[in-house]
Amino acid sequence: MAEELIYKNEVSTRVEGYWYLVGKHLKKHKLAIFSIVLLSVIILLCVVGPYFTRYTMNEMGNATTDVLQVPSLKHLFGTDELGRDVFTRVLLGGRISLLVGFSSVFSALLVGIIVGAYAGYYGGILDTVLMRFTDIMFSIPVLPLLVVLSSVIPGAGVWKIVLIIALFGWMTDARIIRGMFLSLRESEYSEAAKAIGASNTRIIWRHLLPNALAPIIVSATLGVGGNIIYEAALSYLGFGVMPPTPSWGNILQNAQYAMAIAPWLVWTPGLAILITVIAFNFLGDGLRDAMDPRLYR
Amino acid sequence: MEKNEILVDVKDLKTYFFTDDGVVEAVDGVSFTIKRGEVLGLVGESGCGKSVASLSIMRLIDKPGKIVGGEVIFKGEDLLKKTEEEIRKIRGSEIAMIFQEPMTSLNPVFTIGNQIIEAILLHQDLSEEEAKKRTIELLNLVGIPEPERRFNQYPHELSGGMRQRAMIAMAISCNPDLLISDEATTALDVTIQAQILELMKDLQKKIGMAVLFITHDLALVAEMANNIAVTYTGKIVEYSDARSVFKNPKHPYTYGLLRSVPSLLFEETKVELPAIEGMVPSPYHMPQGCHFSPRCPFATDICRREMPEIEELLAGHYVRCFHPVKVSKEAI
Repeated sequence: MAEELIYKNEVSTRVEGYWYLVGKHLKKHKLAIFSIVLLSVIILLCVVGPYFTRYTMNEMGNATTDVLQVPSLKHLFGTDELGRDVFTRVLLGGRISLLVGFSSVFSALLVGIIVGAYAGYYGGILDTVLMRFTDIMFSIPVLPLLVVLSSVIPGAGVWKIVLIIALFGWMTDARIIRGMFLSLRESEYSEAAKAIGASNTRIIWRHLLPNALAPIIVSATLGVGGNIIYEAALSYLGFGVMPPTPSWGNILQNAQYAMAIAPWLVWTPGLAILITVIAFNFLGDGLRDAMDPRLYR
Repeated sequence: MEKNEILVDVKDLKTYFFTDDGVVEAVDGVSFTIKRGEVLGLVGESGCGKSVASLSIMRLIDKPGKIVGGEVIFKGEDLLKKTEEEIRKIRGSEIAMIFQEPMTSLNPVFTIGNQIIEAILLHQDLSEEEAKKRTIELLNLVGIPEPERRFNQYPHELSGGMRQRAMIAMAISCNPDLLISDEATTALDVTIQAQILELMKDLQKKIGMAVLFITHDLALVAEMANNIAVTYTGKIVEYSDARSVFKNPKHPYTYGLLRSVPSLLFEETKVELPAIEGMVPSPYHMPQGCHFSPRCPFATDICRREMPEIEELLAGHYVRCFHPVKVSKEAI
């Protein structure tokens, strides 16, 4: 009986899990919630929208009557110089732009995690080598090199753009993760994991990485927005996604020739990029605040 | 399994730290043996190399530290000669460890159950289901109520005492032969401390594991240990069975430690609590001769010149001192 009593005292009151708390704090961040809703709508529109529009991507209208139409009920965003429906093309372009944004962030993150985790965990020479390499990659002027690379690497696929953007996007992640691992490897649970006989690889991937998740998620969220911009810039310069495959960047580029007489062609892809990137940035900001460990420790 | 079989035989273990400010001899020629099912208490002030000694046995010393000499014979084999792969198989299965800080030794992002299951699956060939069953058994064994519910809780949802119980469950999950408890109860408050100690004593008898019990708290060792090794500045200064050390301390340091334990007696007689004068010397500037000599009331010239060797003063009672204390503790 007495023992039972002692046990009862030892049981602490129930505390909610970390992700529940993150969600709770995120809800207070109105802009972030608004961004989530906005992004969901944009992603949903881009993914399922094209199935419901009346036009296909490259369907051209009548050469005289359907070219450069002002937005109307028939063509929500008007038509371009070939008489294609801009609404359909912006939705399809969104698919490509978002795909590039997400997959380049994902690939960059993979490289960044591997480089950062091993450099931070092992330290010493490996750390020096990997981090100096990161520094070198950082000091390369990216945009000109992106342009050069995209003309040097053969092929015109979307994956080429993903590869090129990822190639120059992993360094920030690597630095963040290295910093996290430098402190995590000194943690007592890292030592405790060693004491139960876990291998270094296991400690890195299973024990420490989940603890570094918060900054990774924030960085990834902000990264998607940044990489959409990169894709747009590359496509705008004519080195990105090749027409007739639409992306927000090359729709924009395509539009500039007719800008003086058909400004709506610039407005829609431009706004799509702007809104999406801003939404990702707000969301990243909100996540950073919500995941701030100082709120929970 | 023979009762008197020597399980661990640490011989002249030396672990040094090579820092920018110089070499720190954290563990300098420590030797002791632990028999199967026996409890050895390793006692000393903070910074005298107790933890480093235990980490050296597990081969968990990181740079700038290095094990520079000695042998750790465990079940007849030298752990210091094993490959990283081999030692990893021993860690957690044959030698387990409980750390000082139950608050931070558990990974905050995994549930208690998950972490114990991992320790089990790393060394035992069980299915997830069996491991889960075993985990709940273990949680029950270490006195965690409602183990099924606790299984799915995160460390931050448990109190310090509960977490330490979970750590113990993890440590004993593979029935280790040796359990190293590194100040395992220090961070807990006294009532919980007593419970955890009781639990460890209980489990030690049930499982029959040997325990290396590291602490700075003499009262705890008295509760737990068969033998006691008192360390000072990386060296063992006195080593004997618990009774002899407590009743008949021979080294002035042990003598001083035992005298400085507060008791209600002092309250009544209004005598000031005797303390050991001075401080533990800086690891970078060890005094010449016996390291304890600057603080020792009995020190003579030879103490300041030479480091005494550890000698068997009485049968089984080893002391590192030129002038062992002659009075028994009761005479104080």
